[in-house]
Amino acid sequence: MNENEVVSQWLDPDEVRSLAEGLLAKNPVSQIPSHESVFGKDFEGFDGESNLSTQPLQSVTSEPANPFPQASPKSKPARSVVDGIKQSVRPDPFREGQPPVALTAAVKQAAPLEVVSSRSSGLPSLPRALGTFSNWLKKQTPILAAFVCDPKGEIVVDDVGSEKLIKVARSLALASVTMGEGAPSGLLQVEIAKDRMIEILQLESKEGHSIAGLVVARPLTSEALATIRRSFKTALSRSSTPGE
Amino acid sequence: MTTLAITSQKGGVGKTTLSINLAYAFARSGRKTLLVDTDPQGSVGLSLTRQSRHLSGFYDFLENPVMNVGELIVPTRLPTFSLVAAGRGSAYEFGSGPISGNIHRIRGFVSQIRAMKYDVCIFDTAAGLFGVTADVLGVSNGVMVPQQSEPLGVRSVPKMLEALTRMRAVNPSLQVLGVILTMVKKELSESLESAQALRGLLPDEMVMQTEIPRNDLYVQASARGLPVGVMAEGAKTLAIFEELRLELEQRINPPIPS
Ligand SMILES: Nc1ncnc2c1ncn2[C@@H]1O[C@H](COP(=O)(O)OP(=O)(O)OP(=O)(O)O)[C@@H](O)[C@H]1O
Ligand SMILES: [Mg+2]
Repeated sequence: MNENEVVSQWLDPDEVRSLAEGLLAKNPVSQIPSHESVFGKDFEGFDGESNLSTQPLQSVTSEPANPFPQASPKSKPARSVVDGIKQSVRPDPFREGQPPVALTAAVKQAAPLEVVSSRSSGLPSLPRALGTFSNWLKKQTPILAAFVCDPKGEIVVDDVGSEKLIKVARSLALASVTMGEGAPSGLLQVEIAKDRMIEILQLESKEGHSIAGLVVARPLTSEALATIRRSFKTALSRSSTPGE
Repeated sequence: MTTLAITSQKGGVGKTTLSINLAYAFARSGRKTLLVDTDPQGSVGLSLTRQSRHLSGFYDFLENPVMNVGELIVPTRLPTFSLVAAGRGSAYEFGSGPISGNIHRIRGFVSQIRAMKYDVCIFDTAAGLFGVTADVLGVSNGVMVPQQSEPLGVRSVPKMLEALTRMRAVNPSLQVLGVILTMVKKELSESLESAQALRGLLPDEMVMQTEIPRNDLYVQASARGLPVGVMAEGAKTLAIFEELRLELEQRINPPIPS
């Protein structure tokens, strides 16, 4: 048996080659935009990194190791600055390809917190959080469409335009919760057409599981999904801040 | 500073052997080099310092937000060569998710060693491209994948490429430096065929020209806790890793300052 036969029994050489060539390309794929900007300038950071914020640019190159970050809340690691720079690039969380131009432009104007809070000061925390979150979703991630259901099954956001699809997606998600199945991350993927899938995320809050469905052309990266979850958490924690 | 990760889907393919000996080659070239063991099994530390099980290391750093990398650095007899052990790895529970959630802390690790003026940092990783290893790839400039020269090894290539593609979505500046064939046994036709098959399958730029032959000296060296090059009979292996270092330096972009 020659070596080519050995190989082709196990794998598709064309596919392997195109994967490999993608890896060698200089301008790969990019990252999901950091979601921090959407929460406004006063936003302090996410869970577990609340001692982080911005700091002057010049300190990026010579950040001294600060042995007591917690003891001195004013000293801030430089990585958030780096994140800040990345953020202005607005890349795409997919494995390849570019976000639509219009979306990129829209992202720069994002200020959904204000939009939501202008009419929401009296609302309980979860609906506000979902509003903030879905605004962020639409503006900051190059998804094709999204829906969000609250724990009671009310559709709070719908640009998918198919109630039936949303109901099915929600029941699938709930079934996977009750059966303890699905990925440990609480993520389900359902193919709905060629090059179209819905990624269904369960978002936990004390009110119960909300469900977000994201229509995408290609699966989101795990980093992108993690960012989306963090964004939801942040929206939740901010919208429950009393007196805001 | 250039940060390189040595990683593979499969265990036992020669990651640790490659990490130690490549780091040694960089250190001998005059580069201030740090070898970091990010495998909770802690084999680099085990290899290089016998008491390393008791050393604090990388995982202590991840868990302890006020710890400094400086506290963890273990010097060696070669002044340009230092290492960080894995630390309390066995007690460390790491997530099974694709990302362990430590990426920010690992970024902090890298910026601290950059401030210490290291030229090269090599991360030896645990097998599998998830958890802490995924986070390490998230902050590295380059990745090398040792691949055992045997038919079973070739089968895992698509999975490895897919995993790296996902990693590049997280870290677009991650340069895939290539696959390196390890434990090549020239007198064994299966070993040679597998090596050829891999070279036929992947673009030339993705497979290092240098190959690491199978040699019992590696086993003896790791038993004695040494890079193989320092052993009396090690001159030939020293030459192999020197060749590999030069090959890598041509690929790494931006180049490592000399
Ligand atoms: N070129 C070689 N020739 C002979 N033996 C080798 C060679 N490279 C590594 N070995 C031996 O093979 C075993 C596995 O190697 P090593 O520990 O480097 O692999 P690894 O990928 O780091 O493993 P793990 O996934 O467990 O961390 C060791 O006993 C090592 O001494
Ligand atoms: Mg190892």
